[in-house]
Amino acid sequence: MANDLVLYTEDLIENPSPRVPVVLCLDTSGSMNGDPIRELAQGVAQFYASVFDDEIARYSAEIGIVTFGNAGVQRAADFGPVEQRPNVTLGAGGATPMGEAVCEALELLDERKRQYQEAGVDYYQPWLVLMTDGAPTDDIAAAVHRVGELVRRKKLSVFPIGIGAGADMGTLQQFSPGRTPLRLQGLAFGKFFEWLSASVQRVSASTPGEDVPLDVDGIKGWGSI
Amino acid sequence: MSHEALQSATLSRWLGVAASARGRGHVSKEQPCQDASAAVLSEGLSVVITSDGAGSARLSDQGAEIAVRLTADLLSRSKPWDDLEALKSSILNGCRTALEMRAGQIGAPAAELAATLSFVAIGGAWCVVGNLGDGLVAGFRNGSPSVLTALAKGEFANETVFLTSRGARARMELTRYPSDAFEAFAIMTDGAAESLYQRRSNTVAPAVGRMLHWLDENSPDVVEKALVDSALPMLLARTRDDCSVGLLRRVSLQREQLATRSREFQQRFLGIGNALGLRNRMAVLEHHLRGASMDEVIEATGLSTRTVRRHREALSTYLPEV
Repeated sequence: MANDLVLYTEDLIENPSPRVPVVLCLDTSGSMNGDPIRELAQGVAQFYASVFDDEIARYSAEIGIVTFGNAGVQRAADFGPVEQRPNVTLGAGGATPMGEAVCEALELLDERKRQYQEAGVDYYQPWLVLMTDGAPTDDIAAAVHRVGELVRRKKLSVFPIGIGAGADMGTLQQFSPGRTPLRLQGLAFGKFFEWLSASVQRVSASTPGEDVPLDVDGIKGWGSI
Repeated sequence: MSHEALQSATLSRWLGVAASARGRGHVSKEQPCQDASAAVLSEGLSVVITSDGAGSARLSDQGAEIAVRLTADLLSRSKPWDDLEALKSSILNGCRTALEMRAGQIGAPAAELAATLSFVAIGGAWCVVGNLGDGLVAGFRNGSPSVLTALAKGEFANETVFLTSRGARARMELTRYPSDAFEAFAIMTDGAAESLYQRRSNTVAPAVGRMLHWLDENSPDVVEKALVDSALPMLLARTRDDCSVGLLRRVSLQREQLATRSREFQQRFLGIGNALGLRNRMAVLEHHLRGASMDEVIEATGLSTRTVRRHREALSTYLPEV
């Protein structure tokens, strides 16, 4: 009956949730050996768990991981639903091919965006989190140019994070024209990923058209300029 | 027209309704509904409009209200819409001026009143479909829907274009169709589109056709109540955003079918506001459909010449042969 003045669930459409793609570009070079790589791995695991625990972010956030150092540049985790938590093992070793890794992270993002577009899935501005405890050992010019262009066109948000006193903050600044890089306090990976998870949750829960400002106060819990 | 033809003649008119509801995201933040909508049904003009205030703009609920109210007025004054570019200018300039004036009164930038705009207007020989931003308009022909303008988003989920945006003129879609090109239209804001529009296939949900059929047998007041009490809550449960829906349908009935409808339906269908007027208009219609002349109608009904003429003129909107 068309005129019973009620709608039925089967007459509605289920569109997929808009996605928040986050790519973690992580330094796993030899200098990260020991506590830093252990704490980083725990932080990443906590990030997955924390996003999964949020009923909205669970279906919105997608996390991809690119590592640079141990075994060169690696796609440690491809994008996918957070509920399929991949088993990410991080080991430290080798040099710091940051430029190549950032380009790989952008490729990973591009591939995912193409998949979203083909499937009719809406998505928010992607995030690139770049974490390093040192300086690049390869040419970063192309990566810096690509990232700068995307940031300028508001196609990418970059979060550059230095780990420890040896992190080259000048290099990180090149990757972040609009945002000052932050230095992690000690090995506060847990607090950083907690903050990152809360930020992803806020974007996931926003209404379309809404600006979601960063939780600047929350940064004080784990970072400093 | 022969007596038999008159007896079987179909009365036809556009009936419409629009409603908005506040989304869970705005309820939890104690923010107002930033959507606005309106249905305007008068002799010679039928309009449904929705507007979605920008989530990031502090006063966009006011912007959406202004956009809806002003666009209805501008469409009415711009008929017969022979020049689409002039109509676009009239709507964009009119809305922007009103938004800037309101912004000036409250000491805020006009961008704080940013809102989208979607509408369908039918008058005379034309219907005009307009869209700026992430609203959606669908038209129905022989029962089949087609998406006429769909969700003009930016690349990202939270990006679109507003009346106050630079480049609004270039991105505003305005299309004119013959008034008989479609038998129904549905418009919606992006919150409602979450459940009523499939992005992947660019199709609207069966629920849209179902809601449009409600107008065949129920007065717009009853359909509006059903939207507010039943349909919109279902949509709100599936999004955090505000939801607005506008429906416009050409309802065609024979005299006998009209007689079986509620008095409220008959009043809205025949465009008459009270019971006495309805009785007189139905009587004039009845006699006309029997082939009575003007004098015969006057004699049979006991109404004045002026009154009969007024009713016949109004009826000519729905039944061209009157």
